[in-house]
Parts: sequence; C-alpha cells; structure tokens
Amino acid sequence: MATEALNVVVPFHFRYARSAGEFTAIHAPGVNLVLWRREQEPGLGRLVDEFSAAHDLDVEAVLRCAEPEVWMFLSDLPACGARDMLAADIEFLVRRFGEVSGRAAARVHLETVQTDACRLFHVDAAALRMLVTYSGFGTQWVTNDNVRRGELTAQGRSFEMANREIVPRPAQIRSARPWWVMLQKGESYPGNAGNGVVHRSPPVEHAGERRLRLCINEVK
Amino acid sequence: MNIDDFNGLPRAEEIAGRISQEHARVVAELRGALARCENGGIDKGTVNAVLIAELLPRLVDAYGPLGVAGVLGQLAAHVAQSHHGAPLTRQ
Repeated sequence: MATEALNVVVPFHFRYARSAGEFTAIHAPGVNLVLWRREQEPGLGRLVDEFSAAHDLDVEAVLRCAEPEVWMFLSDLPACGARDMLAADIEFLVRRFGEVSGRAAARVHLETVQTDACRLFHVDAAALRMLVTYSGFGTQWVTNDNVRRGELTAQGRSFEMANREIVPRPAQIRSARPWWVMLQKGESYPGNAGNGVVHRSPPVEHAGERRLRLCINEVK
Repeated sequence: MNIDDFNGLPRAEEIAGRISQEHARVVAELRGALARCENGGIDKGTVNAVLIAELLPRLVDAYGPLGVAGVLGQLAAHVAQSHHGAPLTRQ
C-alpha cells in the first residue's frame, strides 16, 4: 500500500527554530513540530551523561510557568553540577513553554527511561508537549508523508509489525539528538485533529541503554 | 516554480535579503549610538559594561543559560588560545 499521497503536497509541517524565541511557529496552521537543534558544549554534556548513568530519576510535579520552583522540584537529587545544569535548563524551558502555550502551569516529568514502553509510533492526545532527551537516544519522529495514519494503534498486532505498517519506510525515521528541544502539537490542539506529529521513544531495552528524558505538558 | 513556493514558505532569497538589510541597519544604529556615547565623553569601560549587561540577558532569553554558558566557554578558550602573547597551552 502506498503512503498517503495527499501529504506530499501540503506545506511542510515542521519547523526548525534558531532560538527559543521561535517556538511560536508551532501555532501556524498545519505545523505539528518545532525542533530547536541546539548543541551542548561537550564537557557540560558529559557531566549530565555521567549523572544519568549513575542515577535512576523519576521526578514529576506541576510547576507555575512564570515562577517554576525547579530547585525544589530537583531537591531530592544529589547536589552536583549536573543537577544544577538540569535545573537551570528546565526552569528556562518551563518559562518558555508557559509563554508559548499560554498556560499558567505545566506538568514536568524528568525520568530515566530504560524500557521500550513507548516504542509504538503514535500521536499525542495532548495539545502541546515539549520533549528533551538530555542523555541517550532522542525521540524518533517521521514526516507526515511517511506515515499511514490509518494504521496508527497496534490493532492487535505486535508493536514491531504495527510500526512497519505505520511507517513503511524505516529509513525515513528521524531522530532527535541529546539536548534538542521538540515542541509537539497533538490531536487536541484546536484545528489539529488528524495532524498530530507521529513519534515514538527509540527502543533501548535490548541494548541495555538508558535515556534521561524531560517531558513538559500543559495543565488546563 | 520554486521549491519554497511548493512548500508554502517564503523564498530563501527573500529571507536572505531581508535579514541582510536588517543586519546592516542594526550595525549602523549601534555604531551610531556608540559614537554618540564616546563623543559625549562617556568612557569606553562604561560603554562596554553596559553593552554586556544589555546583551547577556537577551542571549539567555533566546538560547537559555546553558546555551550561553557553553558559547562563552568556547569563546573564552578561543580568545585565550588566539590572543597575542597568550601561552599555547592552558594550565
């Protein structure tokens, strides 16, 4: 079965941001992903890699976007430079997420991921979501023209089989790199039904890999 | 037909032209302001301090504290290595 030809002729649905000031591009009709491909200075990035390798993290809280109390949010983590780096970055991103979403609060989840629980390609029900993988393999996504939306959900198939039907050309799967920021538009964003960005967590379990992932969601 | 028309995006040459014009305008405005300060008797140290104080928060707002810290770290290393008379290796 061919991929959906209609998607080939619609305008590009993703944007690259040069700075956090360009997250607002997500509000453009048809756009379902803004990628800020920021790089981290290798020495600083290594600090977080080492921190991620040494600690299993799973902290979640609702924070006020205008004044996120991130230091309290991370207060149970061992005091070190990596924790301070993460706190500074999360505070910055929560503020920007609040600006772009127009919400007063956001649900923030920083966790170590070692399983393949989200390996099925899917769209989010949420309106807006921000994802950052600080360490390990980044979130994978596909352009609209490489997706067969009618195949979304496992529908009784194995995840592997379903993924092959959803994304028939695996070579077209794109991967975010550590520290990149993905601002995603889901199905419940007004006017975006049927156009949520299709993405998944990369499979890591078989290789014994681990990721440190930040997820920021709207709180209504 | 241009690929950018096909994708519903402004043409690359239009963006490049606009950015180039804006860049030139900002350079001229800033240099004019600096000249007025110096002609008005304000010392260069004060001007430099104000420039940095104005610039850094804007950079942090755009790129985040870690992004700016990373760039400044690389810049510091580059300046230390390339500055005339600086040691070739850092202790």
